[in-house]
Amino acid sequence: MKPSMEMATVWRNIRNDADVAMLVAYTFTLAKQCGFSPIAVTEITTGASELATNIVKYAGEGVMSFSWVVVKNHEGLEVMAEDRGPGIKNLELAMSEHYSTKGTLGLGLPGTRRLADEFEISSAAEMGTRVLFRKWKN
Amino acid sequence: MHENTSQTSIKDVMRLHDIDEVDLEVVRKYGALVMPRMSEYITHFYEWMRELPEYQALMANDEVKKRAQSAQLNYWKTFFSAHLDEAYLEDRRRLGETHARIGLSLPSYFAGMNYSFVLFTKKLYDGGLFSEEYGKAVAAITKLLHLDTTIVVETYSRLINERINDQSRALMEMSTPVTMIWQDILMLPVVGIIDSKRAQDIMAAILLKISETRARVFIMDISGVAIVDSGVANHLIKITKATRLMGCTSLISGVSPSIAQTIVHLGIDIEGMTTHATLRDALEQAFKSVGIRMKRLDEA
Amino acid sequence: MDERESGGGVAISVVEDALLACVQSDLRPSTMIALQSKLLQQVIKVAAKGVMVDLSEVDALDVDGFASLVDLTQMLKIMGAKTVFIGFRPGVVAGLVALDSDLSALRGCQTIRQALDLLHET
Repeated sequence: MKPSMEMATVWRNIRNDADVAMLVAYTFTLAKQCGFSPIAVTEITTGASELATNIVKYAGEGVMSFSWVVVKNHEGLEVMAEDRGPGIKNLELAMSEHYSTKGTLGLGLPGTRRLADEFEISSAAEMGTRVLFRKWKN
Repeated sequence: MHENTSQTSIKDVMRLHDIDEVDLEVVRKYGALVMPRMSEYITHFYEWMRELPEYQALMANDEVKKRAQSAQLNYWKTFFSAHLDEAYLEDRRRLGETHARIGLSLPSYFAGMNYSFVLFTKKLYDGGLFSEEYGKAVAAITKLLHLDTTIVVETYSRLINERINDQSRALMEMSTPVTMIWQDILMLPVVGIIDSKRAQDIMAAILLKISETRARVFIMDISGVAIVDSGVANHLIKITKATRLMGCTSLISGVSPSIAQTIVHLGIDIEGMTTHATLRDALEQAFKSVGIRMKRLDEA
Repeated sequence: MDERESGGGVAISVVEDALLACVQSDLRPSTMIALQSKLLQQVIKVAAKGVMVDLSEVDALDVDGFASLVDLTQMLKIMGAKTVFIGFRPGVVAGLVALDSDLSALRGCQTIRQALDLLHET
């Protein structure tokens, strides 16, 4: 059962751990209500958690929005994370598959991308970052 | 995730509520008409207030009632002298604090302000102004009243929120029940979302328990945890290393297939953390490492 | 147990086939220096293959102190001895975690018996 989201639900002023926790709980509930499978619910929620944590850690403040998207032959949930933080200087490097030896994956973007069906990221130094994370239902 | 309006300047406040010096002058002029009738105001107000459900609880005795009345008189005195400076704003903030402290509910507060407005602009008005002047006065009083109410409510809400946060933190602290399920084996079920504060609480609780019991194995069951992202994995790894430094091996149990998949997809290196799908599996390993073998009663 | 060396806040004795160093106060730089030099001397004297350092009296340890303990472990390793730390206090561990130290660099436990077992592992 998908909720009737005509417009996006936007969460602003994401600034601290408590905000991230609230967003994770919200995403979890939303994904379940949308009727995603248990593994997809986990993937969407984990992705949202990573994106929200990045906002707080690197930009200090940001926005996340949730909307239902319908294209040609599929439909699903789109999570957008946006901030006006310092931006990612070398986007290619950040998105490349390199594992650090000690388990800290920096921005964790390649990993987050693997959880999504569709993933878009745009960023510029001093301008901010915008990430789109999409998971299809069918 | 709410806006935090700290010390904004007087100009900003006035702009926000669309109040200018003319408005304040009008309020002062009107004040001169009604201030002489303040004792009547108090009489009417307290007659009305007796209807409030909270009245009995708030006006415990005559001493309290006298203090409340004098505070109220002071409030309206400053209101009608309409001198908007930092002291005025600070006074309103303190009022919000008082309301939060005595437990006056917001609906009752609004009702009281509303009734006061009616008293001052209707009951206590002797009709001495031209209708246009009267209209301007009512408008100005409305705006200044809104400003006061906003400050009082903001302060009140902030304090109530802080109190709730303190309470939930206390609750969190109480809900880290590390139990010794067997000699040398500790267990803790973790539920919900593990952020850095929660991770700190878990770490403190478990390290203390290890030093008290000299336990050699600690099982952390995360079947109640919704997701494990790189942040959570980091916390779990730190907890594992900390307990190991105190001679206790940590086992993570309750890892669901979904979580196992996302950990791998995210590329998280769990750095030798030992994980199990079920509490039972973890227990089996724990028993083995403390040198215990379970046998059925009917076995040879 | 026989007394071998004491002073500078550090008391060293022999337990079974290992050395036991008890740190009697906080790990000030001077205490750390005493610990290192005395242990290294005793390891040669007694030809010990295992060293136990009792930190149960240590209330506070900062990043530098921790790094010195890691260095000590390395030095003893080069001299052919394994090192185990006894009695890290909860507050100390929590503090080191907060300062992001790599706790897996040292081996620790709660009792002398546990320490001896650890030293005898392969």
